[in-house]
Amino acid sequence: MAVVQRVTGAEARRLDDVLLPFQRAAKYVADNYGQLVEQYPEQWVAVAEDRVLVADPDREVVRRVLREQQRERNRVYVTFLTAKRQPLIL
Amino acid sequence: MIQGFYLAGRPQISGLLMFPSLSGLTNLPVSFVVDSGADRSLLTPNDYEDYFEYVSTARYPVSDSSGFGSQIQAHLVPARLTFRHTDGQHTSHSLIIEVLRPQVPAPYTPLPSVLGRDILDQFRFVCDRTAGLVQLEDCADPAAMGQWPDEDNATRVMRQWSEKRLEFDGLTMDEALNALQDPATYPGCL
Repeated sequence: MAVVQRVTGAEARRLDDVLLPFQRAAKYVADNYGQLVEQYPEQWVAVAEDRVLVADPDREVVRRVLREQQRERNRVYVTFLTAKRQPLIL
Repeated sequence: MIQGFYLAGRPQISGLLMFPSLSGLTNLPVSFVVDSGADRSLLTPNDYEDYFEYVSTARYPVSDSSGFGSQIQAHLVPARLTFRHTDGQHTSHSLIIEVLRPQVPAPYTPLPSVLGRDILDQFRFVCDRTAGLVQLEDCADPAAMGQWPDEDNATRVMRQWSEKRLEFDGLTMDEALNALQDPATYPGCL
């Protein structure tokens, strides 16, 4: 079932166009998690280009602001920040 | 090699999900928690609800997977997952991903999407918290891996689909699976 293929050329560049900004944003959150949690506790944040675009406890507000800013959603990393560290047993 | 990172102490790997059979869907970037105990990868509402509604997966078979607590409510959806390697190359992996139903009420901490052994078994997984290291390295001999553990179940699901000749977006299941193995047929859905 698992079929693996290499992606090259223009297709690879198109994928990078989405994946690289997203990865950079996710890494920014990872590297600055403690500071961001202090600034935006119990809030949804949308991050791109090493900065927080919008933060709000209501995810719908974050969605709306991103739409208003005409942001391409798949280039933005959206996550929920909490200091409560609820354990996850997956 | 695919490089990951730790987010809030959890190992993460990012990739782009593509659903050839869900029309109009762009590439979906997802940061997965790596879970070597999960038989199959899982996509949670936090990562897809800005792109499509769960109801659109209703045409797909219901998952019979379980987690702690109870059987989960999910559908099995064919997809491709593309990774960017540290040398700038890309690999695209076909999979049947579990798309989790939104929880009502939502759990306090939104559940993360999970990268399970259907994908991990194709790599050597390196995880070293002390060094901040999360990596998927190329296997020495991918052919020696054999079938991934859940292939029997996945094959059964495929056969059921084929027998019923379910159609979605004008494609039969067989056509969709062929498309999954031929990215030229679906050049990125971008």
